[in-house]
Amino acid sequence: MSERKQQLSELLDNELNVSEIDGFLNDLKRDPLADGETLQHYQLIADAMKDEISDASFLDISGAVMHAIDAEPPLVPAKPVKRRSSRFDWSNWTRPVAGMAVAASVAVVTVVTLRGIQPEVASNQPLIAQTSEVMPAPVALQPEVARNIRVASTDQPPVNNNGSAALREYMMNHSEYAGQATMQGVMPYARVVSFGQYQEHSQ
Amino acid sequence: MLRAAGFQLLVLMSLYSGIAVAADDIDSWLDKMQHAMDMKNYEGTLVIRHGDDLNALKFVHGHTKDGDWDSLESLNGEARQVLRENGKVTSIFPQRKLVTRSTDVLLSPLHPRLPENREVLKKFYDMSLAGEGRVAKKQAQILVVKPKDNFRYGYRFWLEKDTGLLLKCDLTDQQGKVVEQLMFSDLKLLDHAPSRQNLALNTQGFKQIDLDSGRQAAAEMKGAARKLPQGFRLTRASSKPVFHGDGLIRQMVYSDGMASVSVFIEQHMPEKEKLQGLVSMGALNAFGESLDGYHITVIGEVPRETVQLIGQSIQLEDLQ
Repeated sequence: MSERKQQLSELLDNELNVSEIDGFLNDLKRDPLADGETLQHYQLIADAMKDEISDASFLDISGAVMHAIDAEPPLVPAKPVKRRSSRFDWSNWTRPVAGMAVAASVAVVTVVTLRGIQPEVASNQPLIAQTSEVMPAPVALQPEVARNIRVASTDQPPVNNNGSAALREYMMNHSEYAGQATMQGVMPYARVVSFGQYQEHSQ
Repeated sequence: MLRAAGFQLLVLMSLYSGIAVAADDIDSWLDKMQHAMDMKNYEGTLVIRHGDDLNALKFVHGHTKDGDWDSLESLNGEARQVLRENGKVTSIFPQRKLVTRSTDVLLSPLHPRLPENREVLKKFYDMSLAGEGRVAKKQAQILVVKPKDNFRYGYRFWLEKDTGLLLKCDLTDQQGKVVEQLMFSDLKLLDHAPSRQNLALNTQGFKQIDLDSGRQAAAEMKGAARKLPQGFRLTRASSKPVFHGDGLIRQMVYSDGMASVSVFIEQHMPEKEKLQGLVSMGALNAFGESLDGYHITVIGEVPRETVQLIGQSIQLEDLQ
């Protein structure tokens, strides 16, 4: 068993210390996918986490998936949808608020790693109901094309041009409150912690 | 004739009994899961994958007479610890010498949690038991929660056989593909809540920030989404200062009891770039658009069609 495989095995058995886990995961992300050994490691992780789900893993690293990544269309931000004017009077619920410095600091904790955020082309699919509640739709929606299939070692285009900084903050804010009203329990909090790197915004 | 009718009745009764037993089993597992998540003491390593990211967290849960608490500490990437206790969330960033605090006092959920809303959930999700598995060296019962429409994700729960503790969870899309996974790679059940003194990082001299400063619960629960998948209800509404800049940002949270969607509305600042269209990050999808000088962002652990549907139905005048 190679050293990396041994490390993976130890990771899953909780036998690595914090620095070893950090180093191992970083190493795993850095390695190019062309490296056959890395492929095996990803596959091992995928197998370990897939358990009984033979075809369900989104970390499938078969050659077909790699080709799909290569063939993925360029990222195109969606066009804003034309809307009728709402004649909304913002002043009704916009009040002067003290403590803007604190508000600025909120951004400190709400930045998510850029990796994995992928713009999608907005669907032109018509809405299927006009009532306030949408009826369950028995018809399958359009299949997604290689969505979320990204590999850590791939150089990804930055998505700063699509409001990603603010989006990260929204994601953090949503996740911190999502678990309190659902039966997902700790999952949203785990998302928050695992979102990764945080950056401090200038005020 | 009578004998045949009697046989048919017996078969029907057996079928009904089987269905009832299955439903009881599912409810029993949901009860066990809910109870274990709150009442048990445990610690372990939680591995989470979303998108292309793989992260490991040290997770500890304690239950005492004073309430429940969780500690989640990242084991890779930037060091971060989140402590959650009785609705209060504290985040510690050792490298930045920073501590942030937030609380849920102003935002008590209107949506009843399980088990009260379980029957409502079953209107929108099929629940079934799907055999057994093994996670973190523990035998597990697999519980599948499959949505009845395409506006929400499905879930597969691996529940520890004895306690019902959640060992692993998959979020699956409409095609059954996994979009996010959480799994304990190891898990230790504890007889007593561990001491928190050993868990809390030293924060002496750290900058302290109250994230709730300026946050106000909405005086009146008003939603702005005119189209929602069945079962989604407004559960929270609040406003707070924008993350960086002037003005307020309004947040509305809609939930069906399993998934939740946040709608953020703030005044559009031309100098700030905002999301236009759809993006995905693991199980989270987001949709953004500008409308009449304001910007709307919708985020949730639901399919992208759902965030787009809700986002495009927002009517700002409904908030007045």
